[in-house]
Amino acid sequence: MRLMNTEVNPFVRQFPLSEQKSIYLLGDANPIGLEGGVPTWVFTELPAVQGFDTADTTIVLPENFWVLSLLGLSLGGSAFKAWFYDVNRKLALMDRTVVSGALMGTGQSPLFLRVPYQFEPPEASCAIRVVNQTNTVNDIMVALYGVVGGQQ
Amino acid sequence: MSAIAAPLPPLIMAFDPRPFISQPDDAEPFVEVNSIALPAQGNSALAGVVVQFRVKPNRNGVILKIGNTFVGGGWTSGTGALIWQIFRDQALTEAIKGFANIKSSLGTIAQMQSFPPIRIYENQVISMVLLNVAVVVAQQIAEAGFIGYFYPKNREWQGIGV
Repeated sequence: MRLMNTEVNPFVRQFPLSEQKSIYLLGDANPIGLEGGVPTWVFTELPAVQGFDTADTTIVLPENFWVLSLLGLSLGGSAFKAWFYDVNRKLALMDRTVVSGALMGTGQSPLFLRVPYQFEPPEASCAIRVVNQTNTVNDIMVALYGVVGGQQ
Repeated sequence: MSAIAAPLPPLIMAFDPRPFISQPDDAEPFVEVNSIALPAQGNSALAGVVVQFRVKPNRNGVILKIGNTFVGGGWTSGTGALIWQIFRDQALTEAIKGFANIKSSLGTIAQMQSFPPIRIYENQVISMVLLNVAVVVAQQIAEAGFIGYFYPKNREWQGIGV
C-alpha cells in the first residue's frame, strides 16, 4: 500500500492575489494599528565621507513615528555599509555595519520591514553609522520611511 | 558546642559583564605580528598587506593594541608619503573608524599603542595595509601587529551598542 499526502494546504487562497497587499499580515494592506497615520520620510545626508571612511550621525525622529522601510543611496551609486542604533533603548539593531543592499532598499525598489518598528520615545532618535566602501569621497543618504500617528 | 564562624562579607567582583570590556575566562588571546618589504610606489592597487588575520567563526573579539612602524630610511612621519589603513573586510573596503588614513607610526612592535577596545566580529578579515605614496624603495621593512582577544559569540552582551 502506498501512502500519499493529499492534505490540502490550509492557507491556500487566503492570501490576497496582489503581493503588494500581503506585505504585513495575511492580506492586511495597512500596518496593524497604524491606519490613518501620515506618511513621513526622515532623511539624513552625509555629504562628504572620505574613501573607506566611517561617518556617524544622529537623527531625531518625530513623535509617534513608526518605521516601515529603510532607504539608502550613495551618490556614486556604489555600495556602502550602514548600522542603526536606537539611542533611547540603547539597542543596536545589528551588531556590525551591514552592506546597504542587504539592509535597505531605494526609492525605486523599497524594502519594507515585516514588522513596523518604533524607536523608543520620548524624543526618539536613531544613530546611524555609514561606511563609504569606495576609495573616493562619497555622498551617502539614508531615509527612514514611516508613519506618524495612526491609531494607537 | 563549636563556635560558628561569622559569615564572610559578600564577594564584590570588579567585573563588567560586557565581554569587550572585561576579558571572559574562556577568551582566546591573540598576537598577530608580521613584516613585509616596503611595497613599490603607486596607487592603492599596489598596497602591501602588512599583517592580516580572520576572526574565527563563532567568535567575536576586540583589538586592544596596535603597532605599525617603518624600518629604514627615506620617510618622514606625518608627510603622507606612507599611509597605513586598517580594514575589517576581505575586500579592503571598510576601514575601521579612524584608521582609514594613518600617516605616522602609532606604536612600535615592541611597544604597541593601547586603544579603547576596537570590536571585531566573526569572519571579519582584519588587515593592516600600507600604501607607499612617495618613498623610494631601498630595502626598507614595514612592520605591523595587533594584540587582543576573541571570545565566544554567545558571550555577547545583549542590548547595548557598539
